[in-house]
This record gives sequence, structure tokens and C-alpha cells, in this order.
Amino acid sequence: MEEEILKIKKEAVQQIAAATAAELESLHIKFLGRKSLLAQLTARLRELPPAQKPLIGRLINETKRTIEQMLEEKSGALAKAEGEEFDLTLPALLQACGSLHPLTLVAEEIEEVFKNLGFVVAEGDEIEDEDHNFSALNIPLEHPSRDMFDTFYLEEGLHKKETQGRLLLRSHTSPAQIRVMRNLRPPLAVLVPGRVYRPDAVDATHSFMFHQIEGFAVDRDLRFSDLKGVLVNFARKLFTAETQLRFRPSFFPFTEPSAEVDISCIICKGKGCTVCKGSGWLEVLGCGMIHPRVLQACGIDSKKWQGYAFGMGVERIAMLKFGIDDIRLFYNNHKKFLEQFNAF
Amino acid sequence: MRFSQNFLREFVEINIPPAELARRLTLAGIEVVSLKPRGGDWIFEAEVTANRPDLLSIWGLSYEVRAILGGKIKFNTYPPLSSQGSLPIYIEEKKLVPFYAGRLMEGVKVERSPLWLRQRLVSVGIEETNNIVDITNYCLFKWGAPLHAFDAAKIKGAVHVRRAKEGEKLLCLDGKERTLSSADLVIADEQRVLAIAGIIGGKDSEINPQTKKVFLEAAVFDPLSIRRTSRRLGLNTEASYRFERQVLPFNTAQASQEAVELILRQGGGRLVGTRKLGREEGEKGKKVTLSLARLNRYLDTRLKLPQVATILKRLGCEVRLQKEDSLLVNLPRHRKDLTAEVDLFEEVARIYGYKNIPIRLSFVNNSARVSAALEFKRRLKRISVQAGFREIVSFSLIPEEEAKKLSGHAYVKLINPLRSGENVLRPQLWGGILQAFRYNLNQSQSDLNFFEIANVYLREGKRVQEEAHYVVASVGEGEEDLLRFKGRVLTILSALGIERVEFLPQSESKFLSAALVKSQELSLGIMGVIKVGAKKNKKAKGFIFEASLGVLYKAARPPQFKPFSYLPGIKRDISLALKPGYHFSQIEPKLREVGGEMLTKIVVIDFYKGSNLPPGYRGVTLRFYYQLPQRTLTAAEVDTLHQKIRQILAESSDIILR
Repeated sequence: MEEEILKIKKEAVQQIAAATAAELESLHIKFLGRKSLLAQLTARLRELPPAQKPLIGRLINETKRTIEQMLEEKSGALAKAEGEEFDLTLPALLQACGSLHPLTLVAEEIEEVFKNLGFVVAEGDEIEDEDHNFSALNIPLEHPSRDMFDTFYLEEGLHKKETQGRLLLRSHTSPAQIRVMRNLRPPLAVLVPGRVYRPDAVDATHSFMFHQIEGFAVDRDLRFSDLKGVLVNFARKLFTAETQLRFRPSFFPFTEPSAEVDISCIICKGKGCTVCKGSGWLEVLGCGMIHPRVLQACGIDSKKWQGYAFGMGVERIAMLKFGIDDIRLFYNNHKKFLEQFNAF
Repeated sequence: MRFSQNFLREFVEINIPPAELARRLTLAGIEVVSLKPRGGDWIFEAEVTANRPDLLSIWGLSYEVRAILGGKIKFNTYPPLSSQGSLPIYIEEKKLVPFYAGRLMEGVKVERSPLWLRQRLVSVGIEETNNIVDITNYCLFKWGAPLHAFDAAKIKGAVHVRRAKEGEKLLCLDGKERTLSSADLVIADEQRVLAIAGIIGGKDSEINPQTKKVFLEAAVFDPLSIRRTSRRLGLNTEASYRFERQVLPFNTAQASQEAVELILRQGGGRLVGTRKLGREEGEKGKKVTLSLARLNRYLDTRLKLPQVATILKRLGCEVRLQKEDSLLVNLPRHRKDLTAEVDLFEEVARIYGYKNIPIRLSFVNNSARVSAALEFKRRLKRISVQAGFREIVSFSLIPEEEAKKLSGHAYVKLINPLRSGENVLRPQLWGGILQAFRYNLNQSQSDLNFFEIANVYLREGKRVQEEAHYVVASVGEGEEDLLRFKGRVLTILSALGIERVEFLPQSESKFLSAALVKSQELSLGIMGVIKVGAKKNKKAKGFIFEASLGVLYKAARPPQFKPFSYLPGIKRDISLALKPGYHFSQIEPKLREVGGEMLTKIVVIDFYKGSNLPPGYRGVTLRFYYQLPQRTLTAAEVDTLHQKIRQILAESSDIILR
């Protein structure tokens, strides 16, 4: 029987080597099928003396495996020959995809940090009036403190649903703070992202339109320490856990005390470099305790309620975070710029 | 404000190195932006916030340095001024001039200033002129009180402080002639204007080498009046900058006394007359009660009363213990920015150090609720990204000519634009995308698929309104590209749960072709094709879909499972060509009617541009899908129905079957 098996194997080797792709299937049936010679030999195993059975059985199985392997190899070789081979090392065909604007990425990331502390996002109109943009925020209409808030005005005589004073393009997101505080009772914790406008000539760091995120909270016992807390948490989540903060006294008419917040330079880690102009610090936002006069202008009793507010430029944060050195890139919408922010 | 260590050191003790002083000042709210050594001195450049005009003088800075470092202040003060001799001065606008002191000196010699004076001026960034002018500038920086010296020989008769006559002209010190309006306050003699009050002097009466008689003006002018004139003239001077903010009568009188003393010492001569109008002491400082408990609660500190009292005293306040935990604080005259208890909280906090205030992080309570409309906006952005579009940000301001083309005269215009290219608020978004397309094509970029969500600004009569819009667009050339874009828009709408979308042809002059996009009787927005107008690709067209975000929000539905059929459907293709100008929508309803429930969808699977078609005809292959949810269709019944559909197409004189 052993001879027969070896003969079958020899025959298989010859025929498989010479086979075409179409013939392989019939060779599979011929050598490994139910009616194949090897199958017939397997059926005849029981006729053998017990001592030979395991030996011949093993030989039949080995031969089957060998033939199977030869068939597979031949099939692969034929496929390659017919061009079914895949070259993973060829350069890729690029797949187009969409993307969010980096300003959206940063704004949403900021929103997430504050949402986790209970803040809710709201939006306000961009066309505002003098009352909401200035007076209610404790900014006198004709005063040097107005110089910080140069503003685009709309044509005379226009009005909105309810207008107090001349119409303008909001120069900061703070008017939305007034609208929320006049519409809802405290406790409040609200974040207002949006476009703002100032008559600044466009250069690498200025634009007449840019984005701000304003945040404020009002409750019975909010203290300066709470303001520091939310901002330290924000900076460490948005930049790195090692980020240091510096609160510098400053002046905003709508907060008292007021502060400007610097973070330790994310480029040089505070050692001093060109980005931080050698100071080790980067100014990122303004903040303070909401001025009692602002609370009162919104009908909130400043003896019972205290609050804090903060505001930052989204472009500024995005420029620091992504290492962008020219603000104009945000508005040119060059595809080579946009496609660097495919993550969303 | 520029100042030097040596100048400051004359009046206040400084016992730390300059770099450390700069750091301490910054942490107290006077941000030192530059510090440079200069000839044995140190020059500080500090940013002074709009609420602190007192810091625009060495005098005010000294108080601040004392508050931070705790040293001593030494200022020699002069006794109050009193009028003597006859010096005719008439204040015609008393409300705008609360204090005015005129001094007349004779026999003065104009020459170069001594070295110490020149050094002081250089250290605050002022160029030397002559001893008289240099002395007025020195006193301006020391006391924060602008003075002006006139050549008295040029003054004809009495001095008048009055409003200018409309159109009156003055050749100013800077050599420019300025035309005045009746709102401007001026210093004049009997015949003409000599100076624009508080802003700039006149060329003719300036101190010159021949000057022998000097008229020295020391005055306080109304901040608002100065601000208006300064803004109108676009002229900002060291004097106007301070008058707009705050100038104190006391400091003004002191500056006048010191200037006269220095002029007589440097330039010889004698004082022949003084005229003082108004009160030198100015308004009294207010009194405010400070509660220690409220302070500690506001800041979350554990300060003690003596600590608080010391800080306030060093800042120049008079402090009296009122009850066991509160202070009665008499606010200093030079700190007009302090009016309420909360202002004192800030003073205490910034001198104590913001860094010493603890940090507390808590979850905040909130009566505001999450806005579903804003969540929708976030969702739409993500769906657009998934559909392969990139978000852009374009400017809300556009040129007026463009707005005119888009919406006739119903647009919102600015009165003070920076440039005429940005003077109108845009009434739609797609112009911004078109501009981004043009820019990118000219930059040799391809595969442009953009979207934007931003506000548009509308106007009806005198009423303005803004609303958020959504625009999505692609660059392409032919109908095939358009239909691919249309498919992507339908994918986006379907992801929002907006189904059964129809496209009704519209004639819109701005577009090559346009359609109103509707879903179940609701107008969603407009789809249009427009030439991009790029230099590098003349054939490029923009395919645009723009809709109001509010309308999409209203039409959107959350995902809802609908049972689907596992039974195989049957598809049949028809190749045809459409006559130019013919719209498929003219025949589609008939096909749908005949197809009934069995015809589930029609899609384009191929385009054909062969020379065997009549000119302008567009060849397409349509695939018709037939299926019934409840049973498998037989080939025979589909063939019968499909034949009817073929027949309808064949009967149209605008369609050729291929």
C-alpha cells in the first residue's frame, strides 16, 4: 500500500506543477475528493494487519496535507502571475475628508472644560446696542475706559426688536452676559462663545473680526478663590497639568477686583523665549469679580449674590496651542491650513 | 508711562533692585513692559490702566511704590496760591474750567536747560526745548499737571478762556493749522486764539529765544470737553491724555508754584502777577465703610484689621476703626477711581498679592439650561465633516457693491468702517465660501468642499435682524459634479432626519441655475450653481446649498428605526438624453405616479457625452429600483411596470431614449 501512496504523491506533484488555474479545482477533486485514490486507500485501512494500520494511516494523512499545500501554493503562484498580487509598499491613494475649523476645535475644547463644572453654553446677537455693550457693563459712554473698546457702529436710525441706544457690532461677548442675567435668575454659570468686532487694521496679530469666549457665574457665595479655581483648572486641562498661572491686577469697568491672567510659557516652560518675549509668561485672559453695579443693572441684588466673569480670545488660545504665528491664517481658509486639523 | 528710578527715588524710598521693583509693580497692577539701564539710571516703561490717571505722575507713582514697599515719601509742598497784581483773565465757560491759575513773569532769559533737568526729561522720554518749556514738562511729569507757557508779549490784552468760533483757525506748535468748531475750548486774547485748551499751544505765542515775558497757565479743564476736541482733531498729547482722565487742582497749583520757582532760578526775572480762579483743594475725598468680614468673604482670605489698615494708609487713605470689625476709610483725593467698598477690596487684594489668595474649585449651581439649538449646531458641524466638508471661517463684513447685488438696498451698513471693502454686514454666507474657493483655486488647490455656520444680517425698513445660516459648497465643473454634490447634501439632510426633499427650479439672476429646496411643504433653503471666477481655473463652478439654521433645526428629526425589507429588489436601467433647458422634474411626477408603491428610488448611475447626441443634449443612465415590503416581485410584473415607465419617457419630445 505504501508504494501506491508514493505513486499517487508523485503523480500529484507532476500534475499540480503543470496545472493551469482552471485545472486546479479538478485536481483538488481528483487527489483529495471523496472518490479520490487516497480516500479509497483510507477505506481499505481496516484490511491491513493491526501493526501496519497506524503507519499507513499516518502516511496517507501526511500525503493529503502535502498535496493540499502544493495546491494552495500553486494557486497563489498562479494568482500572482495573473496580477492578483498586492504591493503594500506603493504610495497611498489619498482619501479626502472633512474637518472642523481650528477655532471650533479650540472653542469646543474650552466649552467642555467648563461644562464639566456645570456651565451651560449660550449665544447672543452680534448686533447689539450701547446699553448692553457699554452702559450696563459700567462703561460710561464718553470716557477713556471706552478706548479699550473701539467699536463699529451701524447706520443711524436702525433698530432691533428692543433697542436702547445706538446699534453697534458688539466689541466683546459681555453684552450676552447682561442679557442672560436679565432673563434668568441666579444661580447661573454660563459660557458665551461668539464673533466680536473692533476697528483694528488687520495684521499678523490683529483682525477687525475675531472670536471670544466669555464665562460667568453668579451664586450666593462665589469668591475670588472660586474664580482662581476655575481658571487654574481650565489652563491645566487646556495646556498641560504643569501650567503655572499668574493673576495680575488690572482694570475692566465690569469687574472689581479685576485681573489679567498669564500662563507659564508653553514653549519654554517659563525660561524665556521669543514667544513670551523673554518674560516666561503669556497673557491669555482677563477676569474678575462681577462689579456690583453690573449685577444691579441686571436687577440682581449684589448684597445677596456674588459672581465672577472671565473672557478670552479664541484665536489667541488657538495660536498658542497649535503654534500658529499669523492670525490671518484663520480667515484665509487655505486648504493646506485647514487640512492640518483633520481631528474632530 | 515712562519713568526712571532716579526720578522716583528723589521722592520715595526704594530698597530693592530695579528688576525686583518691576516685578513687584507688575504684580500690583502696574505692568512694567520694559526695563532698561541708561547712564547710571534705570528706565521703566509701564502700562497704566484707564482708571489710574494718578499713576501718570512721579507723585502718584511714589504713593504706589510706598504702598508696595512700605518706605517713606518726601514731597515738599508749597503754601496755597493767592492772587496778586493785576492780571486780567476771563473764564467764559466756568463749568468747563474748575480751576485756573495764571502767572506773569518778566525779565526772563530763555536758554538751554541745566544738565539735571535735561536728564530728567530724557528719562521720561521728552526731548529738550528750552529752559522754560523744559520746566513745564518736568512739572507735568512730576505732578501730573500739564502747564503751558506763552510768550506774554504776543498776548493782546486780557486772556479769555472761551469756546472757539466756528471755523476759527490756529497754527499749532507742531506747525499744523487746525480749524476749530464751536464746541472746542480755547485760550484766546482780545483778538485771536492762542491755544487749544488742554491740548496744544499756538505757534505764534510759543516761547522763543527772544521771549522776555512769560505767561504761565496752570489749569484744570473738563475731561469730556478735552476728549471730544482731541478725538475730533485726532490729536493726542501728553496734556490731553491727562486732562481726559484726571488732573487735580491741588497738583496743578503745586506744579505752577514749582515751575515759577524754577523759572526764576534758571532764567532770572521776576514774578509780576498771579491770578487764581477756582478752588485749589478740589473736591473732598469720599468716606467708605469697609467691613473686614465682607472683605474676607469676597476674597476668601483671613486678613486681620491692622493688615488691612496698613495697606490702605500707605495708599494715602485716612483710616479710622469704626466698629470692632470695620473701618471708616477716608479716600484720598487723587484716587477718584475709588468710590465703593468693593474698590477697597481690590486695593487690599492687589497690595496683599493675588497670589496669596487661595484657590477653590467647586461645581457651580445653575438655573440655565442646555440649549438644544446649540447642540444641533454642533451636530450639524460633525455631520458636515463626515460628509467630507471642511469648516471655514469667513468675514461677516463685505463691500457694499456686493451687498447691493445680493439684496438691493435692504442691507445693514456701518458708519465707521475701517475700509470700504468691509462696510456692510453680509445678507448671506455663500459669498464667503466663494471667495475661499477663488483663493484656493488661485493657490492651485483642488478638491474643495467647504461649509460654514455663521450669522447673516437682514433689514426690513429700519428694522434689523440677524439669524444663523448654514452653507455647504463644492467646486466642480459639469452636471455630474453637481449631482454628486447634490447627493452629499441629501446625505447630510438625511443624517438630520430630513427626508422627502424636493428641488424646485428657480430663476435667480445671481446663479447660473438654482432650485428651491423643500421638504414636506417647508422651504429649507436654496441650491445654486455659480461661476467661481478664479484666474487659474475659468471653468470652475461653485455648487452651493444655503439654509437657515433655524429652519433646518425645525425640520430635523432624531434617528428613528424603520423596519426594512430583507426581500431582494429588482433594478432596471434606462439610458436617455435630455434636451437643453429641459428639467427632469417636468417628467418625474408622472414616473412616480405610474411607478406607485413599487418604484422605490431613481438614481443616476452614468453620464454620457457622445458625439452622436444632438448638440446640448445631456446623456444619463437612470437606475430604477423596484421593491415591495411584503413580497418578492416577479421579473414579469417588474418588466410590465418598467415598460410603462419607458413608454412615458419615450413619448416625451424632450427626451431621447438611447
